Amino acid sequence: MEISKFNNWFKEFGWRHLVALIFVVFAIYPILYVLTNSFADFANLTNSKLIPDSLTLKHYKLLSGNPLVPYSDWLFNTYKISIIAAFFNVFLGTLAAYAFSRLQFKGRRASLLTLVIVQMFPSFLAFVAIYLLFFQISDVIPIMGLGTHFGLILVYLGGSIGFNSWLIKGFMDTISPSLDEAAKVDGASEFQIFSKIIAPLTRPILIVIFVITFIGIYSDYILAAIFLKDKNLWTVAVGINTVFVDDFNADWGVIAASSVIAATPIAMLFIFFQKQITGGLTAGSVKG
Amino acid sequence: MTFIKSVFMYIQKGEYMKNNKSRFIVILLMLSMVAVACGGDTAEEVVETPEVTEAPQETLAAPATTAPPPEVIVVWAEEKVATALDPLVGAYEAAAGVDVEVVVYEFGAIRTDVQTAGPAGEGPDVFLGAHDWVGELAANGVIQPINLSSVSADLFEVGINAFSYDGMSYGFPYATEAIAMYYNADLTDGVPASWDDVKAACDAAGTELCVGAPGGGGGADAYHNHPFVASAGGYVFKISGGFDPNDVGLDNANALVSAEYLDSLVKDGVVASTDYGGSMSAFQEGRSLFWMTGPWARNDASAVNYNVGLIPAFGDSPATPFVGVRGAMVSSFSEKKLLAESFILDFFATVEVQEAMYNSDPRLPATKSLFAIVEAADPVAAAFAASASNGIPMPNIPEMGSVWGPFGDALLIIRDQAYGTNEETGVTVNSATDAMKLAAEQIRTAIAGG
Amino acid sequence: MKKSTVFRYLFLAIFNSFVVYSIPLTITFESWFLLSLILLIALLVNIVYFSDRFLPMKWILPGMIFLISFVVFPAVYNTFVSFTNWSTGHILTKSQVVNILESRTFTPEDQQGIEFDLYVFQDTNLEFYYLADIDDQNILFGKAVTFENINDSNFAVHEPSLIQNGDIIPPSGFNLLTGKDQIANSTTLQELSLVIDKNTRAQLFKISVFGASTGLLSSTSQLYTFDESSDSITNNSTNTICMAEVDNFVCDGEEIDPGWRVFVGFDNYQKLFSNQRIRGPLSLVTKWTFQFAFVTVLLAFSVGLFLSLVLNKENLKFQRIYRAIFILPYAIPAFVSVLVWKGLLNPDYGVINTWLSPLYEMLEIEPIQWLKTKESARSAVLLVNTWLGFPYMFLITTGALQSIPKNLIEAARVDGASSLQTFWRIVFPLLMVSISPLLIGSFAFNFNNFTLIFLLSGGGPPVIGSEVAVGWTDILISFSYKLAISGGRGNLFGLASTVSIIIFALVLLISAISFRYTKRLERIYGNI
Repeated sequence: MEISKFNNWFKEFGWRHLVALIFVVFAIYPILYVLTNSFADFANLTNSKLIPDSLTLKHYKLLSGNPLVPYSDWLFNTYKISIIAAFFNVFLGTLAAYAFSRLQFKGRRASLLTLVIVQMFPSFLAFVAIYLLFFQISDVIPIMGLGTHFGLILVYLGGSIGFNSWLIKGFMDTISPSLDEAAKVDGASEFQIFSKIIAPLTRPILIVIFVITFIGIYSDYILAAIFLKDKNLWTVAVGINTVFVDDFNADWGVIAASSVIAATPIAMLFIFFQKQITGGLTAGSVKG
Repeated sequence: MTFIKSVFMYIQKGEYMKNNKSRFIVILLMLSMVAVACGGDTAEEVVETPEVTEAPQETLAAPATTAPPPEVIVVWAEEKVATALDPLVGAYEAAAGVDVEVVVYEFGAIRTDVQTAGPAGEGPDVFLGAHDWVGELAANGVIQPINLSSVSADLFEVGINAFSYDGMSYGFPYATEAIAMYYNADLTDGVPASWDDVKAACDAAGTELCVGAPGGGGGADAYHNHPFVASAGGYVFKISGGFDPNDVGLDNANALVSAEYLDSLVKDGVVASTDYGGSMSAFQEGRSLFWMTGPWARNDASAVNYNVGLIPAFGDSPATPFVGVRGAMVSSFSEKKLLAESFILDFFATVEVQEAMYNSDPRLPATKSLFAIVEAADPVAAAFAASASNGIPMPNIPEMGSVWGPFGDALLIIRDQAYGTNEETGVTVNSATDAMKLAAEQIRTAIAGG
Repeated sequence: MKKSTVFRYLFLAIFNSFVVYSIPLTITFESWFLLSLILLIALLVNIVYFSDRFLPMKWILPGMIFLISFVVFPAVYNTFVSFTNWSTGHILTKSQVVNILESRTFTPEDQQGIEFDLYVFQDTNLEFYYLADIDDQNILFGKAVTFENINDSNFAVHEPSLIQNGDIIPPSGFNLLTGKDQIANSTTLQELSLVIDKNTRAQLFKISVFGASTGLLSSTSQLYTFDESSDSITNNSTNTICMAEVDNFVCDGEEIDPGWRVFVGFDNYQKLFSNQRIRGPLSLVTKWTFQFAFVTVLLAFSVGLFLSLVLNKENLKFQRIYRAIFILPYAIPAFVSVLVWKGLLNPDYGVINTWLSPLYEMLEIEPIQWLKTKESARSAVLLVNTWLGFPYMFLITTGALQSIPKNLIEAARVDGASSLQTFWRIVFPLLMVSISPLLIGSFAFNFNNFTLIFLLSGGGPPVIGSEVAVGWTDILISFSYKLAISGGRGNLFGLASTVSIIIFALVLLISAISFRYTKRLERIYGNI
């Protein structure tokens, strides 16, 4: 390449690649340790060597065929719970965000702030309260009691409004109100405006929130451990922590393998969803 | 706030009285729904109340006995133990006509959940846990005393003591464990008998590190380092018919001497400044000659050709590790205490069951007869057992909770040589003696309820 | 009626029938928490959806129901607990304590340790009888009675004829129960005793399915008797009266375990604030907690924003892959990655020090002893938290950047602004309008980031000379955890709740101030 062409490329794209690569190393290096540990015969996350001396597939084998370790059930449970909970989280959050963004009422900002602040309460002993509450729910409404996925999903919905709504609202605010007006002129109802116009336009942020909520839920251990006692109903977090973590030591090889297995689809998902997140947004909307 | 105000205004103004016709239809609709719900509801209620049906009578001669539905014994245990126990209970279920439900719990969760679920009526009948929980559980009134006289002849003292609290027995001990010293058999022949000889052994082997023990490298660990302080007359709580929380011996003359000795070992490079993970990788990679930890690490240690010996003695005194004992306990909120006790004493305590448990989840047995079998077959287990026989159980009183932090921190300071002065408090810790004295003070103040 | 109104009423009808169904059940099961929650929700739902008004609430209520149930309720519960003495030895209610104490038996001195075979019979009326084979002179047979009937019962009678040559001969009309039968009846049998004499009874203590069951002797009186009028229990073996004092029964100056939970008002708060030995560490820890939360958010946000700007270029190759890689740290469970970092930071063989060794040589300093000193531990904690936190920031800023109308940026360019000016004057303020609450939220999250501190440094190198065990990287929540589990007599949940309330108050204060500030921002930039 000619020097000037290279210079131009570098100024526009090249330096970005350089910076990105540096941070790729930063982001990935610890993860590489997890990856290589999943193939290590004597896995130890605090190893001094990146490439272990002896390699083995036994950790992956353990997770894929052992009747005592229903890992595929756990994976399925985790994804099922996380997807459903994240989806409804986003749905409820969007509903609330619409009200805060589009509907005029007194004390809008104050109430939204209150919701956000309420969510900040340190949940040090929250799990005890939830445990007690669900003891009672188990008697009265067994299908959503302790030991059910349904009940667990409901608890995760507690975080649906608050931060999520604020973020979505902020995004909605940038959508020009003239769109609403145009729709109203055409005779659309409030809900139709919401579902056919506003919500689709906020899709990028909805997806971001979905991903964040999804990851938060699938990494959750405490609440899931309270709810799920039947081995076949466990999530990956509960299963791994109960079966492979002991007083002093843990089976790091299996834990690493599990982390790799669980994280891969998320990365794939994110690659897939990127278009949705970064796609052109207000292009074509009426300029305010 | 505005929402509430408008609700009040709404009700006041009676705005809901408009649109009578549509309201009427709606109310009808809702009433019918309610009626359905009520109807279904009472049917449900009948089903909810516990049935007292007469199960099919057994046709025996003379008076027939009533046979209520089979009792269920709920047992909580951690994964490995549950997996070992589950296949064995079938025999008892058949012989006793009960259902034994073994539920898998994360180990730490058993301790907390038994105390939340039990009083709420959702707890287990039997649970398998660690002996140092006993003080807290007994003080909270959630475990039931068990009479061990029928089985105590075959139990080791240490196990019985571990589960005693306030003069009563609270659990049946089934497994003991204590740390010992792993050594790299390719590089040396055994563990030196005394700490004075360890340095020579390491120099001869030429490894980078000598003894890897958890408790350094930023990871405080009082459990592993107890022998360094308590082998020659130091102690955490004095044992006088139980553990005496008012007599802390971490800063008595003997303990201080031992602590200074540890300090010298660290300065000589005999004891490395590693945390658990660091000591493990050092041993696995052949960088350390010795690894001071417990039987759970056998799998990890097998990365090298290992063997196990006693922790070296401190002068004339053998090393005194903490012994942890596992046992079966009965929840005081169980409605079937007699059954639960019978399950433990009549079934769980038998040598057959204990042996089957050992084969599937090897831990040093607390039963003498089983122990003899194990010792003969597995020299490594024998080495751990020998180490445990010199040890003392971890104190099981609730006050122990105040010990781990200060004790671990003091040992960490010595192991990492993190001496210094705190500008804000003006306190200086320049020696092992200072560290131990500080720890003892912190513990005493905490226990006094400051 | 409009279609939507029909839907609304239908939904309400179904919902209300569900409520009506559950309420009697909650009463049957005495589930008071649940009952109050259901009533509250039912009230709200009916008011909001029945009327034609309250339009905003119709949108917000669904999410709010869950917020109330699973966030507000635990918070209220937590607050309530902070006003109690909940701690080791005080977790039960008083009536539970009385039950437990009253169920205890004791054995008179001379009978202790005496075990014997115990056989169980049933007569034609299905009543239970015991045969206690205590010794040759005492083969005692009699009806097994419940505790209330002990005083009315006849004493057991010596009936040697029932045991001949080791075999049991049941009297006519009686059936000998096998171990299995005994087990089937165990819940009844555990309440029965055979009265031996005025002061002694025999109880079944171990049912054996493989042999003879065993019995034990104990006193006919239970160990403790509760007297409601004087609010005391009597120890029947020593004949002492133990008064109830606040939260324990006290016998001869000694507190009896278990005690019970009791409302103590502001005691916990007082203890915290007036306690000399906690105050010093508390202020130290509070200062660091603020520093930690603030710097961590700053770092993670800077890195995240920087990266999303760097990648925010159309036609950049590998853009999608870069982005996916950058959220990977977020996708690996924290307890795994933090431990890996611990290894990377190992001063002797960790990769960080290995890479930095040229620097060390150049500056002629010793390699940093990560996590062993105050400064290195704090830096390590910030470094690892940045690694953990930047993906989240990256994700959000990427999304938020899309919301900035491109025409604004183009207009600025046309007006001759440089990239930097465009960024600071237009992009950044707009970004802050939508992101600032998240920064505040991230601050609140890290204020309570127990996992990281616990896993990476355990609170950090110990603070020398502190009266309470505390470390240089302890934040409020890890410190309160240490306090809670190391209370004088075990766990102090009441006190821990108090600390968490105080933490919340602090966070609330900071947030309120910050939100004031962002309101200004919104006013200025919100209408571009």
